[in-house]
Amino acid sequence: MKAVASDHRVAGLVWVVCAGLGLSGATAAAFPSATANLFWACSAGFAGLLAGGFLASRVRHALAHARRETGEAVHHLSAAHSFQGLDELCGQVLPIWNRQIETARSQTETSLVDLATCFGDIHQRLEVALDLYRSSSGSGEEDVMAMLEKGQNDLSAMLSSLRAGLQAKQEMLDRIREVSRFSDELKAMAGSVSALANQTNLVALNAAIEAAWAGEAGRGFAVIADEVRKLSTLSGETGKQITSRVESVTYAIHGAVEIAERFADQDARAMRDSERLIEGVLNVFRGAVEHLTLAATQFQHEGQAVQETVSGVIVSLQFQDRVSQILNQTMGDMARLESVLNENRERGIRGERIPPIDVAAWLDQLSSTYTTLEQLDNHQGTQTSAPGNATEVTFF
Amino acid sequence: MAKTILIIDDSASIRQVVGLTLKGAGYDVVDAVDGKDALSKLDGRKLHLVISDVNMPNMDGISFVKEMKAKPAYKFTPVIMLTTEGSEAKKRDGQMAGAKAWVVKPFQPAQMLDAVSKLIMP
Repeated sequence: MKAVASDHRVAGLVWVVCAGLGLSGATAAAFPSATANLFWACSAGFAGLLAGGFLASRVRHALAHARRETGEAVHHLSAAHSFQGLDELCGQVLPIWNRQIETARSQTETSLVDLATCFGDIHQRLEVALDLYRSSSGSGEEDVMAMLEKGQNDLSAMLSSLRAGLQAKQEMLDRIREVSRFSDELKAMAGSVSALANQTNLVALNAAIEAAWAGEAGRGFAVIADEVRKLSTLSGETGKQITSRVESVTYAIHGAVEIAERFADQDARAMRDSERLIEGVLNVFRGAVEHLTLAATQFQHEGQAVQETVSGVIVSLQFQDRVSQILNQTMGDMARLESVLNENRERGIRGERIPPIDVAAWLDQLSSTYTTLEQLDNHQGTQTSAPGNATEVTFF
Repeated sequence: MAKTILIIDDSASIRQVVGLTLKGAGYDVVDAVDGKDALSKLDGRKLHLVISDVNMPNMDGISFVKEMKAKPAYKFTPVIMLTTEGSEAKKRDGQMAGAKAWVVKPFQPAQMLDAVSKLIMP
């Protein structure tokens, strides 16, 4: 387009120069633009022949003007040649750019898919871990606390049972102590029996003396007194035996009481030790449960935070789709340009007229293919609007 | 029995992230790279929802929805269009074709799941 325009401009300059020299417009128009340099050389020679006169002065002036104009024309002609080179360059370079962009796009997509897979894996594993936590200990905290409470209750029941046993032992000890007191009474009673026997023996002896004093009349009484004495002797021996047995029983009972009291003290100490031990163990468990509960809560919070982060990553990874669409659309437009340039080159080779490119129509066509706001912003040269974080959902 | 959702998008990364979001919520996922590929996967299988991109090679999302809705087995299958396009004209095209919702990328997983749960067939 610009090459054609430059050619027209050169032709226009040639016409101006010819008019200045008094040549007809038809002759000037007959000059092809590509012969501008030759025309300049011819004009210079012709001017030399006319030097010295008024006409020569006029021609010199016109030639100086023509030199300037033609110099510019040559410059534009060179530019026209460069643009022709640009056509070829574009034909060669556009497919390369296209392939490079496609490679970058596909590599980005492959990497993004790998990244998405990795983040998806993290997301799913975290989900599984959290589900596991929820299912195994969803009410786990309560379960462990209930278990602890049940253990505490069971141990308290056991301690109560032990206390009841200790109480029963204490009662038995009290009874034994009472028996011990009875044995003392029995001992005293046995002593009384012995004393009564001695007294009876003494009375029987006095009765025997009195019977002897009575002579024949007291003989029967003497026999009775003798029997009474024998009985009192027997009672005295029985009393001694009772005393001896009572002493043995009393000794045994006192021994049993001592042993029972010693056991009772040991049981009371064991009871106190057990209570302290159980309370200590329960406190350790309680502390462990509280620590576990805290750790589990923190784990859950951290897990949820990581999940939210991964969700954010999943949103961010979607940028690739937008990038891909922008690149695809740019590649499509480059391919369109390449196609048009190729067609024009073919036309040029065939000597056909090359139609000018309608830039406005091209840009309209380009903007009609946009799918994102960023593309439209870029097209209009306004500040690119980044996609927002909130999902735009429209229900029909 | 998990419900099945068909995802149609020419972008592998989008298929991936949508799939991850849905699988994480317990849905089964079938995917297709464009409308034509998706039509070939409508082989009588029960689909509870379709999530489709709009601009795709071979067959675009709007054309796919029209063709799918012409099939008696899928006439009532709800469709969510998931696209970078946000123009009202395009949305109208989607609505006319039979889509039930229009979600503009990028999407937040929670909001996508919310839309899915509102529209998915019982």
